[in-house]
Amino acid sequence: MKNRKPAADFTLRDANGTAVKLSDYRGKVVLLNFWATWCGPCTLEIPWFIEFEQQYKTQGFAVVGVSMDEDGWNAIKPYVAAHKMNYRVLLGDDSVSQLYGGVESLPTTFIIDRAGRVAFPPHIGLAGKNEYLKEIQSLLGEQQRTTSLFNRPLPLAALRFGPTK
Amino acid sequence: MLKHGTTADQTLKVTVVPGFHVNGDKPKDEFLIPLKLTWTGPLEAKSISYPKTEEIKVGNQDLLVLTGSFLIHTNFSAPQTVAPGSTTMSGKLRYQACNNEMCFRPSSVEVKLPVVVE
Repeated sequence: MKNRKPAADFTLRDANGTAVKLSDYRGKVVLLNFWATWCGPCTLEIPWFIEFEQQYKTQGFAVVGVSMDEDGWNAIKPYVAAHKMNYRVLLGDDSVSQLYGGVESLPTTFIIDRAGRVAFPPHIGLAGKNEYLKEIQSLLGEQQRTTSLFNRPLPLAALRFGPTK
Repeated sequence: MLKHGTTADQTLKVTVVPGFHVNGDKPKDEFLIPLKLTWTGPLEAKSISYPKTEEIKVGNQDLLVLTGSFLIHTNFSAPQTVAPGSTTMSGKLRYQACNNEMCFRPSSVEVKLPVVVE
């Protein structure tokens, strides 16, 4: 997506009460998923996200789930345990959902690049697993391309030695 | 019109937008939001009867849902303590709607029921 816009930063709390900022994840590719325990289509995607987290975390990738459950951690914690969710879950609120267009329906998912920018149009509703994979892999590949540019040896002409008189 | 010491039935017709479903009053999964009608006001809602659900599968989830139009019946009684005359019962129907790809947040719709007590 051209002209990537910055993903709005926010601070929400995780299950331990720790304050977590989206900007804490700068430098990583982030799949930001708005979901809820009562959302059936969300349940279909969660196993994929568990897989992505496991497979790509060492490459600088993270899934962040923002739950929009009105019943809060009383509803979320048992669900996270039952579904063996291995990624960070935060308790969302209306102000954060407004930052992301209102989030009128769930699931709504944003893929964010390492610079903290929304890299693709949001997925509103259930998306295909391969759609997510393509986007994640392309952003993980961006870092590798950038790194390899800097790892190449510089041509001799670009180097200057000694003081100039 | 309702006399003291008697009961009367009220029927609420609900229509779900085509393509969407709402959970029934007794979903299979504890995490799902049930359909629930509540009343406030001077009359007593002695019983509320919800329609039979249909079972559908969304992914690997079996859901008990309602689609299209359906009826919810409430049986009211007027206790002796209720003063004769016009009054209003306020109902709130809580629901949560989805289709096969997305869900909307739980929401409520309010209804007003004018009643004359004799």
